Amino acid sequence: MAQSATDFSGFQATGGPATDPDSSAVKAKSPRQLFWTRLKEDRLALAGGIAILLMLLLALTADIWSNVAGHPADQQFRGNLDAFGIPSGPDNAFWFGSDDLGRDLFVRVLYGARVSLRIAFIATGAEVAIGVLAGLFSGFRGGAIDVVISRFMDLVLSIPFLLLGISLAVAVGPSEGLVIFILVFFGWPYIARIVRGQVLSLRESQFVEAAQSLGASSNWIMFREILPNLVAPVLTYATLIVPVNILAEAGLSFLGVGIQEPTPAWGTMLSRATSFAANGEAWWYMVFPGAALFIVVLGFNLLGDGLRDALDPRTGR
Amino acid sequence: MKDKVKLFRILALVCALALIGAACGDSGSSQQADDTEQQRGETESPVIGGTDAQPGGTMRWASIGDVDYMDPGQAYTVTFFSYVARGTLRTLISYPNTPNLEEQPTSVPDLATELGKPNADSTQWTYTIKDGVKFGPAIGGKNVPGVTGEEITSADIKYAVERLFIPSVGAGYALYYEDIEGVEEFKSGKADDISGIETPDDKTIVFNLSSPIGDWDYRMSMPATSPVPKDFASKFDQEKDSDYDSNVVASGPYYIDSYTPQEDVHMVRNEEWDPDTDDIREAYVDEIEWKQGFENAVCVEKVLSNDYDTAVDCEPEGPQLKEIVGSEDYSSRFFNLPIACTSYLFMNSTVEPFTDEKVRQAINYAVDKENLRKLAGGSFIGDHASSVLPPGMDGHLPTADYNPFPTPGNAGDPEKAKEMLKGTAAEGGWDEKLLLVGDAAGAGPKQLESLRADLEAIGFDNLEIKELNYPDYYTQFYGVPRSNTALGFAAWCEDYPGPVTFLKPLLYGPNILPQGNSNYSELDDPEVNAAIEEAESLPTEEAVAAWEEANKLATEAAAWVPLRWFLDRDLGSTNLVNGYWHSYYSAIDWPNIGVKQ
Repeated sequence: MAQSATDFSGFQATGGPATDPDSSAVKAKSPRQLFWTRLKEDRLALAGGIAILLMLLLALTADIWSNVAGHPADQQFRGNLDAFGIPSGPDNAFWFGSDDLGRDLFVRVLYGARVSLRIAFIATGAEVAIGVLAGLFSGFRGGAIDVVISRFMDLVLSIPFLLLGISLAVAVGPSEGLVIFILVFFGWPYIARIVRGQVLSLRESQFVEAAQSLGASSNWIMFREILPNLVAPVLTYATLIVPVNILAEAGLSFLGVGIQEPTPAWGTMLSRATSFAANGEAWWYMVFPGAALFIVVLGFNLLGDGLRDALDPRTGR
Repeated sequence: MKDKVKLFRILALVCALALIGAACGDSGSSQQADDTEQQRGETESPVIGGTDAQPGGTMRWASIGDVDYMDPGQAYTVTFFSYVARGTLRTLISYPNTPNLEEQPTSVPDLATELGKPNADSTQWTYTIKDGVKFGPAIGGKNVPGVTGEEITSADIKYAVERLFIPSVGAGYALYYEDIEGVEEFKSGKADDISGIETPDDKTIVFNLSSPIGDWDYRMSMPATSPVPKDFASKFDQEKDSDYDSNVVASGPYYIDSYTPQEDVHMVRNEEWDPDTDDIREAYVDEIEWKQGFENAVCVEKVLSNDYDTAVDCEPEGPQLKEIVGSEDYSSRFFNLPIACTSYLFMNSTVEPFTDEKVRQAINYAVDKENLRKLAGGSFIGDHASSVLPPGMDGHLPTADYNPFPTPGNAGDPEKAKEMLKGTAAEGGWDEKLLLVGDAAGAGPKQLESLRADLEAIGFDNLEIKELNYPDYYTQFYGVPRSNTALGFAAWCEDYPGPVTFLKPLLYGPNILPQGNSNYSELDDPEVNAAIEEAESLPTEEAVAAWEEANKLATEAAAWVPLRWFLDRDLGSTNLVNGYWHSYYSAIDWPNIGVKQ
């Protein structure tokens, strides 16, 4: 899925004026300028970025929206349930309709965005930190350290994510902290592997040799010479890992082992909407949280692809 | 004792999902209540397909799950009682084959020539077995030499009762037979048989009891008392875990021809069964094909679409219920009739602040029963309960006559509750952590949220909520006093039509056990205990007023918030003929129902 978007945006970028071979006045551009130029021309990536910004804004202003609607996220408007317990649909007061307890779905979707994004960002940040460190040491030091770290990554990647997640939640009780732990535990090896691969090739490059011959310490080389060269791939990959984390969190919540009531979470909403959807009731209960999830995930994927193309022009050409 | 829970397993599984819910004070609620009252007035079950059933054909059943056991000594679920035992096993006493709802829960002789003959003080009950009743094949169609085709004798019934006290069998409801003289000696191994069960000849059996029991006939209708051939079964029962479960010998009109647990059951005619000896089973169909493993909504849908003829353990919830009652076709084959079950929120009377009766009474005012019910599907799943004993049971008190904790529209009255809390330890609220446990499936989580909001409204704002799957919340929390469960949603159905099957296991102080406890609220109220003992000692007819008194005392001790008296939600296909529903079995009375051919 990501591949087609990459090719498309890559194609667009080649057609753009920044790389126009006929441009006679060749002007030197800094890497940052190149990056912005390329990114600005990638409309899909921009659209993704805007969608994410909008959702972030809505999430941050959830309290305001809750006040505007006059409906606290946890308040149960029991009159919104009909005689069979089926919630009422969108109207002037409840813009997205009600959930299965009569709560305002609009307000809860916004708070759900807050929870979803918070977990995804924290988890991604931790994955990047751990993954970069592990990848750096593994790739640069090699030898026993590399063997130990690499085998440990293999070990982690061979554990079934869902089974461990469900078992842990049952054993210690589900919580937001546990969700983040599970996401990080399974997520960091992907970054570590990419970083390790990059480091392996960078280690042999001339500027590292030069630094070594000047007597630079290993730590200096790792953090001052190699690390800056990892920013592009790590940033790109981090952007693509955010939606993976959002979906994983929603999946855990859907299965009842993620975020717990009454905290709003998109996965929980989708799960509870299914019992109505099976009979064609309460479409709004599935559509709005589903759309929010879809928009955010798609937004991050488009942005991530755009970033990759913009940061590393060799891809997609 | 611990397995008492199981009887309502299926009901609770499906109902309790839906069960716990209640209330909203909107104007619609009184309308719904009226509708339900009308259903309560029914005296006849609806009958699908007319009454002219003919022999032959195949009936198909769909279910979510399986029986717990095939061995009648171990099985303790509605699925087994209603869908296996009713057609494959006979007991001394059983229930009549009639669509008349008032007659259905009465005792009629089955293997016995007539109802039990008690002595003057009901401490001795005598039965005579009919001539010409024979054992059929064992599970899998095996002909057991010396058993299949042989007459059923009093020794076979004596052994059935004895094996309930053999550890390898371990029946869940052996407590109903503990008052037979000599049970203690048999249990401890001092005696080889139960001396209180006499078999003077092959056709006569006499039960001698150590205390008067007025409802012994009902106890002789439980499947565990169906005949078990001793010579054949005892070699299984002597093992660590009895394997009679795979070798049950049939006595009814059908036997189990093949059985794959959690997948399918196939039942066919038992040729040894003589229709002349059986007044309560017509045995119209030739075979039963029972397919298991459906998801609840799919199982219901399969019957609505006539792919299957009845739904064993699945019941329509909110959206499907709405569809069914809105359709003329579906509602004409929807059995939405009362069964003797109560769902309730219990409060643990040993956990602060519920040690105080006044606090427990306040909670009775705080709970929005209407919302809890609505969350589970609304008025079609049951009536709001105002006391412990459900309708149709001796000692039941209709809400119109008795409702000690009334709230407007059953939607809760937080102001009244706060007022009640004044002067108690929980005045103004309660900040210490309270453990609230409930069902993780169906409407369970919604109902827990509804209750959380109700309790927060009166200042109980530190609830730790645990959601578990059935039956884990019973076995790990409710039934284990040291778990300190403060509040929990539970449900109970009768074992036989008698209030003792409610009050004794659920609210009788001496019955609090460290493991497998069923007095979840751990209520040990001397007044309630005495009232239960008093009522149990009286003959059935004279006991009604005493049971009413016990019901009142138990309700006002407020160890429970009674939530709902159940309406069954069974379905039949248009393929059925004489398709009526039986209240004792909370199922269609399948051995008396035919299929179109």
